[in-house]
Amino acid sequence: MKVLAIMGSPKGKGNTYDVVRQIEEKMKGSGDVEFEYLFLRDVDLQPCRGCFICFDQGEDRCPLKDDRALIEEKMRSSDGLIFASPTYVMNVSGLMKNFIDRFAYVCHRPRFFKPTLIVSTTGGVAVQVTLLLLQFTAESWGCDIAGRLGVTVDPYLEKLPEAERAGRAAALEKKAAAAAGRLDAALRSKRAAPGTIKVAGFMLRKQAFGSDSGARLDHGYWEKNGWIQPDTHYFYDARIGPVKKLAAQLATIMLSRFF
Amino acid sequence: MKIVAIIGSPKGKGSGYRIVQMVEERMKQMGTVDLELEYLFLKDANLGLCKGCFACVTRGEDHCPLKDGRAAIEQKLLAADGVILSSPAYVENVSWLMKGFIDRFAYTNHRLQFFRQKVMLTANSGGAGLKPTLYAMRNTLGGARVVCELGVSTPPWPQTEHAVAKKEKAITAAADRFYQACLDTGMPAPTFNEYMRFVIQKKVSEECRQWLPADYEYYQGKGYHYETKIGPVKKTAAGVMVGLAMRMMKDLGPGPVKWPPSIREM
Repeated sequence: MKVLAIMGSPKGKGNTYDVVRQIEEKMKGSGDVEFEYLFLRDVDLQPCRGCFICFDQGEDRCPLKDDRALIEEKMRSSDGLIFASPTYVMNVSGLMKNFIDRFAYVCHRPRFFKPTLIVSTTGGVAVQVTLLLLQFTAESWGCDIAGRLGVTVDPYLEKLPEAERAGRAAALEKKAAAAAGRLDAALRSKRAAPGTIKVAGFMLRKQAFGSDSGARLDHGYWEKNGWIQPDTHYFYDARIGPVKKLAAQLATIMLSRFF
Repeated sequence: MKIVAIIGSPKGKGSGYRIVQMVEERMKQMGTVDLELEYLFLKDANLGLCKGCFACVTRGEDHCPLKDGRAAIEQKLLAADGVILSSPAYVENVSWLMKGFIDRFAYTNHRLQFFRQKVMLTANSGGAGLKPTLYAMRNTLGGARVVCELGVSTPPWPQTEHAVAKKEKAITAAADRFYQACLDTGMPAPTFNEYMRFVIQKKVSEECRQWLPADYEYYQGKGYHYETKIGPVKKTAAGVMVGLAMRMMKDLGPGPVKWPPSIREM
């Protein structure tokens, strides 16, 4: 099984890398899993120009000629994904944000329906905010969030007394093991039924792209995938009961207020 | 009145720029004072993407390995009475370009300095994402007070007259609020929360003296970020609350006791 980890730290191998490496170790211990690290600082992914062409005319028309398509292919061909970014000013890093912006069109035309882990680290505060933002992005792309791991790493860890350091390392190991277990389980089991919020996200977009009066490219994509059929309630076959359907309808109201 | 508008769109002169122009027009109509508004397009600015080395926080921003226009931009902002931060909403967040700007000024949340500046946040979106985009810009310039947040939806299709009137009204209200706030060019008296934050950050800088030397040097000997009177009630209340918070947090760290004891020990 292949897991692709998108690494959003401009440092490359910092705390966030250490955490993902621990997850890798734990997963390797329980079976045959192959990890690939994609360091955004090293790939040719140029800054988004905001021209909107990827939405309007298709991502193949993006004026930036770089490795975007290659990276998308990597994400498509892996069994599981990890999105990992350090927390900078209560948000993802600028580098990670550019990656997200370059794949913004996937929010309209979702495609990565696979188990996904969200990871962030911070030396200070607000790691949960970063996790939330990353989760929201990944879910917009179709990902199934298997778990989220936020770690507060003391920036001065090596200067702490031995006992305290060991205590923190043990706590981190436990968290990493739990996250690894969740991703591992998701990779080995059948697709989980989507939660209420995800169904609501589907409904909102189905509404937006269901008619051909608006974005033509998006509409065509939704039509081709069979998502605008009246009896389709999610991107893939999933049992969605009447209660969840109703809850999702209500959630669409909440979502459109918030975002 | 000097205003600097930071334009975070990689397109440069898109909808966000037009909205700031409308704010400028309205401020000029209101004004009895001369308004000077400078546009700073991040797409053209000499400002590299943060490397995440942490040197600005620990040793000071002068140690940033990127030799570019950051310091000049900082000086420009410090000389202004107000700053407008404008970003399009990309995937429910600020653009990568605005995020790059925020990251480069991250240290100002450790050593605050934009006390005199009032900030207007503005976001525009063809679809969703206005609120989270505004939220992401709140902590951009440490010390500055955000006086208004203006989110404007800018779909690619023509609008109804009612929708246009609503947006125009919101722009006028925001411009008015921002203008009034920028008229006050004095140093504001800190609110209780601002003072609390100062006390906490000072305490952290002392406890982490060897690891945060730049913070330590900055906070050392200060009663507040700048000369101002802190009333005795505010001072005592903040002291008590911070002391309490520190005592509560003390037990969050590891200690010598293993708990709960394993079954064998019971």
